[in-house]
Amino acid sequence: MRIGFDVSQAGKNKAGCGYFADGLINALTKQPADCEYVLYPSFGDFFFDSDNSQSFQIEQSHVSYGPRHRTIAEATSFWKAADLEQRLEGVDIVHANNFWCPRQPLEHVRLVYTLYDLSFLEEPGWTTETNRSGCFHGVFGAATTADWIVSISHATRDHFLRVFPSFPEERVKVIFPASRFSSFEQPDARPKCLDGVSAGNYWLSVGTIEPRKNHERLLQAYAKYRANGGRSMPLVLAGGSGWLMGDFSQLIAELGLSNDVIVTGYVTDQELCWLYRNCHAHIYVSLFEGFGMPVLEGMQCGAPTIASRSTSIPEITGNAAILVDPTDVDAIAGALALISDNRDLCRSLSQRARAQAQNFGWDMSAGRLLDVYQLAREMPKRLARRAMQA
Amino acid sequence: MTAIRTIAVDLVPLLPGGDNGGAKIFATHLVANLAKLRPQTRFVLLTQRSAHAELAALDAPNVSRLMVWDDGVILNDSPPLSRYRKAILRRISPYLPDRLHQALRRLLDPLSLSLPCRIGADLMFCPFTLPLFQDDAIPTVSVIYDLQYAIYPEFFTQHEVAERHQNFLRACRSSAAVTTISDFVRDSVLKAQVIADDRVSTVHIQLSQWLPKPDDRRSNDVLARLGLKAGEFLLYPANFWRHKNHELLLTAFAMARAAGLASHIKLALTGTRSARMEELANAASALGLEQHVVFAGFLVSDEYTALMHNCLAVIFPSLYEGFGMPVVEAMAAGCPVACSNLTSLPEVAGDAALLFDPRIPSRVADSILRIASDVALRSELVSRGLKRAEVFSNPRRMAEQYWEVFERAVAADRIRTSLSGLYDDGWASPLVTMNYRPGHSPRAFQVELFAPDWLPTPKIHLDVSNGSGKPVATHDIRAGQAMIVELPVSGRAGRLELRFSPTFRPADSLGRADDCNGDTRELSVMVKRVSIVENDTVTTLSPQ
Repeated sequence: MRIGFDVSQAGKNKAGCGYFADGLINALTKQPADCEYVLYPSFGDFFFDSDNSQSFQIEQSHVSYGPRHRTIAEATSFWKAADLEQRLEGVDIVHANNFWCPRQPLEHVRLVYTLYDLSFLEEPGWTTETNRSGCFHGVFGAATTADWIVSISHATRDHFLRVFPSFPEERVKVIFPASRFSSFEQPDARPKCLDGVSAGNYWLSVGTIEPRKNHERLLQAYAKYRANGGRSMPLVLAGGSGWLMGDFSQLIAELGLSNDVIVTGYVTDQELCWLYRNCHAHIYVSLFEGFGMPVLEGMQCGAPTIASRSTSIPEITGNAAILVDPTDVDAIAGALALISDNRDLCRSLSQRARAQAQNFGWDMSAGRLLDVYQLAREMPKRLARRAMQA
Repeated sequence: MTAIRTIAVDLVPLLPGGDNGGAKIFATHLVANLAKLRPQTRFVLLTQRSAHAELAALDAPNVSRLMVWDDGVILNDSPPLSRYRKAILRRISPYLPDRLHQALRRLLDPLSLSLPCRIGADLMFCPFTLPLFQDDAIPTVSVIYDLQYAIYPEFFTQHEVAERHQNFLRACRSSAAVTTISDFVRDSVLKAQVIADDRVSTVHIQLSQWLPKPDDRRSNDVLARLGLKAGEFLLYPANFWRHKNHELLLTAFAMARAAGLASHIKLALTGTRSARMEELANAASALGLEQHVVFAGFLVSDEYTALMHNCLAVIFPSLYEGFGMPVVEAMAAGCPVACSNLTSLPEVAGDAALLFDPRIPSRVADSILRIASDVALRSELVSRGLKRAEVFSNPRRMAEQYWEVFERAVAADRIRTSLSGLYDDGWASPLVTMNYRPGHSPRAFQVELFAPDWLPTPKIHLDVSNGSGKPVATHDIRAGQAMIVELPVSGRAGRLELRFSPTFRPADSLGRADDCNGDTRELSVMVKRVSIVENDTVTTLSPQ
């Protein structure tokens, strides 16, 4: 089987989506299976990483590369060509991973489309209009031309089927991502900005600072917890800076938390691992997720976890975390109080978190994906007759 | 109040038939109503050959047409002036007062004058935004329809974005005043910070009749042809441009059907046949909507009116509008309307439509379900809609508002020596233009420049040319330097153009986006003062 696989977002500067393609392709190419992979360093007209396009490389005998485009215009011209199927030179499957979806009728090639989330349909203000418009255009293309959809959570799958009720639900499969940390033995390194903060004595929340991640309520809950006599452990916010950072510093000051909140900015994988391993608890109260990678990463590192009950997060935590309504500041503050002085609870949550995290792994996901590819090749195309009429 | 005796109206972009869309209907209505309002004013309509005959409908005692464009070539019908006459004119002209000089030139050497000057226009009105003929002695008023290219650049090619932006800048810089067809567009124009707010006015589009009355027989014919039944289809009157958001509408329609929308209700889409229409038709099939979505294709106006008058409701999920003429058309036709709550639409629809966020399929689906199933709601929307359409049915009022804009433009122009290209905070754009009126010789402009030391480039170059493009002076100013440039000018009216290069954008060059508040203006140097020195009198023009 020849599989064409979109790795356009798996370059050096991976964002959330890029980790999925990266994790999968590395695991896929290691699996024993009679498959050849053609990797596409550029894919469609929506996303383009010129560096990746020139340099993405996996060194294996059954792996080759699709066209390396120098500009988004070249990539667009290739991927939107009417004769795309001919240009794809005998792949059986094309797997799209960056939201863009080819719309040309494909007579033989099975089109598999990764669906991350539909947050842009829930609250358009959570992203830019350009991004929203492009994401919707891509998902609509998938709903009309894809043969199979790979959804990264059941929540996303259900959301998709609500928006596109005519899409056959048996062709939407759930394949979970896994953590970027290669193993439990991942080396760690203490971040410099944490000087003066001792291991085990800080709350942690990982994620970019943006409205969807709900940091405003987290800060309010933390302030409430402290006002009610909560232990004076600082709150460490780790991750790249998002938008509205100016307003955020002001909010911290208004709540009187300037001495208690540490914003680390970007941290390396090793520093992140140290933060997860040594926090008192990891709090992730995002309003909406397609998956919720920081929750899994924290659990893998044994962090006692407080997380939102929203969308896909319960699928990661199972019973191994304290789940709260992310819009309820009192509930979040209550969870902080519950966990802050209860060693037994912390220990139990930590153990259960590690165990639960074992249910996820790239090899597992790659295996499931290979099953989907087999199914895709055996089954007919979703709209075979129509595709030929068009 | 200064008399405006002649107005040149640039209708060159106007094409025969329906290619100009709503803009053509608006422009021709406006011209007809202006002419009726001001019978003492002469209107000269500048046309291109292909539309010249069609515009005869506008002919009136005070309205005439002048064909000035034929397939890319500017026409003129004046014979070339002999060299002998030109020589005489050059000898005597320095001794003539300005107005007489102009009149004589018009007589003897018309081709040396711009077309608006030759017509004797007191004002140039450009209902299609970009002034084709430019004469700095004659104030221009331009109409701006939208800045969609700035919000949705991905819906255009790079070339189109650049071209539209240049047209927008030109219209703002070279017009005495600009009108916008909605407050929403006015706000967008002001946000661009290329024109002062007292030079931008909103004038809503007003038509005496938004849609012709339907003919029953024609209606039955077109409904039968399209497989539609009166009162049993939703209508979206829009062409298949990306900003019209058809994919989301199809998604929402399918959701509504799955949620219990009466199965016999169809969705009719207007819009000409094209590759994009084929793509949408295939998508509709893929969503299982083949039997329920009708692609009506191109409709002549009485077929279009038939659909409007016979639909169950109009659904208008557009992402961007400058005004939204089809919404008013629908209301005037007595259709209940559900429309987008973005851009100009809430302003135009008022409280007479069911509003929804067109970016969220479930909201659009809910609105479809509500309007299709709730008879009382439809009835309420119809009655509010008819009242709302009345607000936009007073074209005389629109003509009056435009006339006020014209008068202010002409009066303002007479008062000042116009200076354009400077921002209120003292920064200059890449081109600073100084138009000056006749005055006493000898005189000179004094321009006090300052280049802050943190500018991205060490040296800024200045080229000064006159109105005919002839170079007059060049200067260089170094970062950290202040200097005063003296530019002598004659006693005649004229223009100086100061071009600075290179330029920079604070938001890009200085890397501190939050400090600059996202200042995306293209800037050159600071101009601390512009004065004109005549005899021994110094008149400072900027800062005012």
